[in-house]
Amino acid sequence: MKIYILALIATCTWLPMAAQSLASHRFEERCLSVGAGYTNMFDAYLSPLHYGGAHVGLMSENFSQTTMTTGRWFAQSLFVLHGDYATPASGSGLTIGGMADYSYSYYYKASAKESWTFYVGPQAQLRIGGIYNLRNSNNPAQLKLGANLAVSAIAKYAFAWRNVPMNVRLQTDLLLLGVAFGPDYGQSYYEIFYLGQSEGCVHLTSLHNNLSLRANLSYDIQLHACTLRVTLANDLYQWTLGKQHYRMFTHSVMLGCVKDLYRMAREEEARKYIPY
Amino acid sequence: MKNKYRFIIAFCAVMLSSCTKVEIYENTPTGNFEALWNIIDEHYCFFDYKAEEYGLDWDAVYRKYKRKIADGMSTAGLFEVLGDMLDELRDGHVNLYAAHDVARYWDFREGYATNFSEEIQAHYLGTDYKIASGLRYTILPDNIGYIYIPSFSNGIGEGNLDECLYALALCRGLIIDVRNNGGGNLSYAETLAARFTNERVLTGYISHKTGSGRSDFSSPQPVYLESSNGIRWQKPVCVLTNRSSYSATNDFVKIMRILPLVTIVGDRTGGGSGLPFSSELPNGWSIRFSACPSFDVNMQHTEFGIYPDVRVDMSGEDRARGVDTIIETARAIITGL
Repeated sequence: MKIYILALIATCTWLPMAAQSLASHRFEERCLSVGAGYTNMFDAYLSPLHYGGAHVGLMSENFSQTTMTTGRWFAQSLFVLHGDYATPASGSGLTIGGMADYSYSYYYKASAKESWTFYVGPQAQLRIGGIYNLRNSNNPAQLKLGANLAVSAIAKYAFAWRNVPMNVRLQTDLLLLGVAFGPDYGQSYYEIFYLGQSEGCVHLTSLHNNLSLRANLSYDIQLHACTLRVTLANDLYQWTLGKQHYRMFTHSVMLGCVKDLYRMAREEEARKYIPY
Repeated sequence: MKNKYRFIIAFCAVMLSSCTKVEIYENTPTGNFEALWNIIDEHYCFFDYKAEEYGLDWDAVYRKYKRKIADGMSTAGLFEVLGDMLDELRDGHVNLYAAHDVARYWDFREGYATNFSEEIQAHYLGTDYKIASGLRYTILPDNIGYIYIPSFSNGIGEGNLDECLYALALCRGLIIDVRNNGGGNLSYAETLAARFTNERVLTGYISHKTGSGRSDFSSPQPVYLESSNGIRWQKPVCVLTNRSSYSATNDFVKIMRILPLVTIVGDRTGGGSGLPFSSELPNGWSIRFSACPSFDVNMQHTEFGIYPDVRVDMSGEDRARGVDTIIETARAIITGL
């Protein structure tokens, strides 16, 4: 189990580190978005009720071309920070949640048909966050920790409307394998952290007990100074850990500014990658 | 082509296996009753023990109280029925909180002698006692240190204990009075107990539920008390208890009774050995219940209290004279040792 966890974490950290070796001229797209929307949370450890409320998020994306295999491989670094504030239908409870979600993906540009471009590839994810229920006594909060391997796909369609270039992009990530932290069915955090009885709190996750889907539909409008990106971000996290069910849906609209860069490598570095 | 469809079907089956069905209760008297009964059914930790002790049958409780639920009933009526249903658990850690009231089970102390009087205690504590966070302490005329701890909800830090024990260092013995202490934070109770042992000791076991079945529990894990690195008490100690010594205080007594030089004096503690969790009902009422059972070093429950080493009640005669029989007994024990 420990070897498995170490291997997974090593993979999750190696992927972004490997990309640091990119040294030649390359295209890079950066985008910083902020947004707000709706969240729906269910955490059986904290409450048998569904909580709904406000969701705010910040998303930083870096999408760049790599030097691997004649430029058909791309890398995406995506950092999402979000906060949630939700109440049950009765309005008498309150839950505050937050999560930092980092993912690094390698994409193979699968095919390009005129206006359509498709990317698919592996993704490493790291997640840390928590939910705090203000009413509870010895089960007030849930820590959310996870390291996952996922598969990610992007479909991109470029077109022009009244001579204004536009892009529509759909990105979907599907978790395949990972490890996650979660207390046992009725285990208290007093046992885990004060008494140090944490055995059984780390779970192997895959499709059978962890459905994690992200679908971002983004729409780029090129303006004079920058490209405006409107993203409809939809996230679904669903776990069954220690016989307890957790579920979180978020739907939000994000607005961001896209910067397209063309990075120039140092001449001597660039020569290493030039075949002639 | 067939393989392709097989793959798609298999993939969908795996995907669907992660989907979960969650019970949703309606916000009606019936829905709230069902939600409460099921929350307790799936998470309460003393069904087996209480079935043995007094024949608790949670299914029979369902049948008995289901008949009293009607969808047209008033909020107050529903609260009363649900409160009565929870009383069947005979557990002071079980409460139902509504905006207008709190349903509670306090029979563990209300049906017994109080064995404590603040007025009489004031004769011993005086007015110039010292306060170190959650500790009130003084030195009695026969050079015995007296510490009163009204609650384990107020923080007790290492610095507080160093100062308090240093101030009482020349006393011939120590009385720790935890009567009417309804509990609080387990870690504060353990921080205090760590001052009375010179070595790591096994103090009991703790377990938790591993599933919704009434007997689904993890194997009990040992709980140890590490001795403190600060000032440690090396003289006789008496811990005073009554029926209102409950929850974390019950746990404190459970630890202290196994330590050398410690004598428990007074009445049986109130119990409350389950670590409480919280949940809620569709109508917004909050519920608290025992979720993780703890055991003493002999793997016995202390849910219904711990018997003292020296059983003594405050006598009416002493009360009339403004004398605390339990404190006087402790003084005699320390003086006689």
